[in-house]
Amino acid sequence: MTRKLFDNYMIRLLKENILYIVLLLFFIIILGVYIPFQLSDYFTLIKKNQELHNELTQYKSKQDLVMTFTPAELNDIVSILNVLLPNKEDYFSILNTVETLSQKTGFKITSYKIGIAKKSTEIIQLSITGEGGTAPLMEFLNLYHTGGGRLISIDKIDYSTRLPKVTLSLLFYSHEFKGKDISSSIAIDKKTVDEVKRLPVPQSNQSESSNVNDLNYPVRANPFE
Amino acid sequence: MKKHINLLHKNKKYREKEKSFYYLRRITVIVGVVTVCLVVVVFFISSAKRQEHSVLLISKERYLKELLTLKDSQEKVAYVGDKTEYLKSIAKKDSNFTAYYSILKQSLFDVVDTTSTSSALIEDMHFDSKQTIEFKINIFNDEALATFLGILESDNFINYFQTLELTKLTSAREGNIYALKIKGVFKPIKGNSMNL
Repeated sequence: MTRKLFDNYMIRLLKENILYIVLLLFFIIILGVYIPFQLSDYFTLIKKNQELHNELTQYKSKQDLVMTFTPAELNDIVSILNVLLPNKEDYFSILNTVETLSQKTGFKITSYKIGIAKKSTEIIQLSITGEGGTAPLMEFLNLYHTGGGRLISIDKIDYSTRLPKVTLSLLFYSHEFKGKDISSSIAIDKKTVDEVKRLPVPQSNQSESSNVNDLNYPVRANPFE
Repeated sequence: MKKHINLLHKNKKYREKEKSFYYLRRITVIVGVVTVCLVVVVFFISSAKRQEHSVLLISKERYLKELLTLKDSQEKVAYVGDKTEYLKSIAKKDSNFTAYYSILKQSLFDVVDTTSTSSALIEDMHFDSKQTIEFKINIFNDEALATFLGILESDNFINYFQTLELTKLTSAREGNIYALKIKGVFKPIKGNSMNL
């Protein structure tokens, strides 16, 4: 059978077509090895380029975001935020804030009760009881957010015209920024920043945190200084 | 037995072999053309992507250098972003009492006004950050009671609340004085007290 397949004529044909046979094998090797290798390299490059595009988009938005503010604007807003939301809690500034509000509004505070909220160490609860009629109370309720210097929210109000007295459960906040870089999760809303700049924060409190470079609020150790 | 060569048969076998090699040559040419085309195409698209990759790496380096010069501002922006977000979350948690109180005051204006001749007086009030309100109102005549109950049952007033109930109604024998206790939960209103 083998003899019949590779007879003289067959051998002659094989010799005549050896170039085609070798070329065909060569092309098959290129198609089977080189092209898939190159295609895999091509798809890896597509993936890498896409990742780089995403990275560059992040860098660009980060750069655009930073360029939105002038250094002076940033110092101003950091200074305001240091006052409203100190990095570490400062009990003296809490009492100072309440006193300032009381003086500004005429709402007379008769007692304080301070406590740390169970949910978070960043929240201090101060329960105040006061008197002075509806007008000072309403004035207090219009100014309390930032008018005393620190950021305050009201959790509960108990109002009695019979006694007359009102008990307010005030919450004071501190918040420490743990990051050092703009991560993709931080989204700054310029409108919010502008609104924060417009908040009625007393100038004297702002000047206390004039050192904005260390991003730390100066905590007072002595209430009388 | 006499031996002979079948020339016709031999010729057919040769023709078949030659035909096979003819197909082999054609296939080789076709595969060759396809391979060359593919190599050229893959080479060009890979080159384009490699070039794009180099450009992107250069851009990345440029951005990183530029951002390094803005390191101080970056830290401050991140700080501002973090604190403003926290500030916004606090603003949402605030009870926003004045806004809800003004709704109540406006709605009850027909019976509770600020004058000393008011036909009703809100005596005790409790309000919290879950917008739960509980108040006691003293009403000094039958007409004012009817007006108050009318307001309480009106769609306009009920629409401000998720739940609203009259928990207690007592009346004093002398002077037609009624004391009503109302408890309800306001529907959240848009915005917050700090406009953040």
